[in-house]
Amino acid sequence: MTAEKREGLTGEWLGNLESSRVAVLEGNNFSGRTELLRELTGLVNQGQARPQAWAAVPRLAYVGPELYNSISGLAPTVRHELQLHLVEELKYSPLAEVIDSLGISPLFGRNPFTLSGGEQACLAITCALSIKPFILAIDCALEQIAPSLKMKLLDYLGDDRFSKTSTLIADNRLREWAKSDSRTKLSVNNQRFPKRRLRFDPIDSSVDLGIQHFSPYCLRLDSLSFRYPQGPTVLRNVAADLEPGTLYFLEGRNGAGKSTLAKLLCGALRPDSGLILANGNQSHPWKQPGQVVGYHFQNPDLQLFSTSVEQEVKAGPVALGLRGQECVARCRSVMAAFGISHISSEHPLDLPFVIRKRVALAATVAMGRPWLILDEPMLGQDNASAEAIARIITQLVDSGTGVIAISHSTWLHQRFPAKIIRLEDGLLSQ
Amino acid sequence: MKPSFEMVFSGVQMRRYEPSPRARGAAAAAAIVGTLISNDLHLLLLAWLGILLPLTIAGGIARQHMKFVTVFLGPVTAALLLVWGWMVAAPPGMPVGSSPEEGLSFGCMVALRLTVLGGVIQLCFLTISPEQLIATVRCWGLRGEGLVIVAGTLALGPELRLRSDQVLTARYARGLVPNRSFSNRLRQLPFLLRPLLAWVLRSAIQRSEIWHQRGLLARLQTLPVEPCAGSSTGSAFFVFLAFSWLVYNIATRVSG
Repeated sequence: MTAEKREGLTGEWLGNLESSRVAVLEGNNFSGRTELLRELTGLVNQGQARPQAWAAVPRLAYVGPELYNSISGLAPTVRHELQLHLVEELKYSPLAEVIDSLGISPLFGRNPFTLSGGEQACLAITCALSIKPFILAIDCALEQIAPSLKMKLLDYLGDDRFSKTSTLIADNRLREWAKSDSRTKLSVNNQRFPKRRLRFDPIDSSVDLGIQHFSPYCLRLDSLSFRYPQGPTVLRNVAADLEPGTLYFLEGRNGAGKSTLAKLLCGALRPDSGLILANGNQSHPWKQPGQVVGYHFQNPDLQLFSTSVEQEVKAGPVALGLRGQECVARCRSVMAAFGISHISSEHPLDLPFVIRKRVALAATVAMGRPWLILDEPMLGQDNASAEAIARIITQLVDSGTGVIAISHSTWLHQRFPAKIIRLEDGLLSQ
Repeated sequence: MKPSFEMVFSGVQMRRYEPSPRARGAAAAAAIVGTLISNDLHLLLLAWLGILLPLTIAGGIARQHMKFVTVFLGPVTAALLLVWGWMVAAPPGMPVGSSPEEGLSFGCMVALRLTVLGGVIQLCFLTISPEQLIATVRCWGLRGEGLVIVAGTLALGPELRLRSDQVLTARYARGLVPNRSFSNRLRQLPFLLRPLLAWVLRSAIQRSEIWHQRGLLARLQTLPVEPCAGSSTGSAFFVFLAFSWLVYNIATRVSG
């Protein structure tokens, strides 16, 4: 660690960071990991002044869970985004290999905002590395990257070629893909930071959600094909039989088309060809979207529209025709289960990312659809919360709901019985 | 074949016949001035139908141009014809009601000028390939905050479209839109605005932090972009066309 960095870091952190270039921050949600990472990279936390000590440190980088905000918004293509960040000519930079091996090269001509969540994560971290930062903070961004790429990236971060960069990682799923990880662990508690305005309750999976599907709802995908206008074919003759009351785990590399398949099933996109059959009858989700399949997005901010948490959770059931006591009871139990009852009057967008994710998840579950597609439901959640969410999912499955979970985390299907379906090169294998 | 790192990063992929940024700027300026001083109704119509429309088709922006013509210029043209042909019933400088035909002709002239101007501006900006965007803007001499604003705005357009699309998709996926009828889609507009506004504010704060933290604004000024290259055939064609249009209109004006 350089002398100029030492001036900025204080106390225990300095000693721990010197021993390893890649350090992992351990802690639960709201333990202060995000605040610490922001502080160490010179960003302002709520209720704090800009840390003056960092004025002398020329290069610091923070990549947060809201990946699209880690992209500059100044570059029309991925190539320009990288050029904007590079502080040395690329052909002499060790970054060239990182870019190639993370699969960013084929994306050069694309607008950064049209990339999938995982691709954006790879780009955001690579861009942050491009400025040769003294400290690189990665806050939950790794959770959105496919495990094989995650390992490669972690190896690169510890590589001698990036010896001037100390990397701090906060990642809730780190243990599942780096079990024998010997990197420095730093535990964080929230005593260093001012008290929060709101208290956040844990998720309570013992609450009865009050959702029961008495008639099974089989889904059959028959030769489903789709391509985006002026884009490559994403799905080719996809066929699958999906049984009700089953947890499916949809796997695939970043950009494989997992989210696209989910959007076709819930009716947000229209297939180019092929059929979706519900209980043997042809279903047209495109014409009546969200009626059979509910979809929880990877990015919660896309699906939050209301001015309070309660209205947000109620919106889906009301739109689908649920009224009166039944609607109130369901929303109350769902909010209680996700630990958001006491913040029901708060504006969803005023809440931290972890809680926004829970609100969006609660809003999708409250719809009570026979099928749910949950895109990265554990994103940003600590182990206790992820465990509780998994129990809620199994409660839904037991009630007859078919659940398709899309996640790079293997934790869910390792601990709970799930059928794995894999999407690769536009084809689905069961 | 998977494009290799060196292949993509070493060279800019340009459209065929894409003019150089300087030629593009000069041609656009000449065409705009020529259109503003043109007072030949038939020639304006011919320029639009015979030159601009085929060029917008060739440039792949015909859809955007027709949208501009129908959504924006349609109502404007109707209003112009109504005001000058019927309400004022005379061109400017003549007594009210003295010549409805000439008033109508004036209304048509203004509408056609707007159409050609819109077409020229669309052709000038919308056909810049994303790969050439920053190089073009820098070649035009834009530096400092101006460059940041233009680069940000040009990158923001596609993002805003994408976000609107995503928010709408999310509403469909949550069953908040019962079906895709026109009236139902229209009703989604107010719901679209709130998350978009919240996203804009949140993104603005977080991105400005990132810009500041990584020194990106300074980097944008010194970004080693590719030279102001372009197709010499394309450049010569556009410059010749635009300056011919300018010279002809000046000559027509001078000769009275």
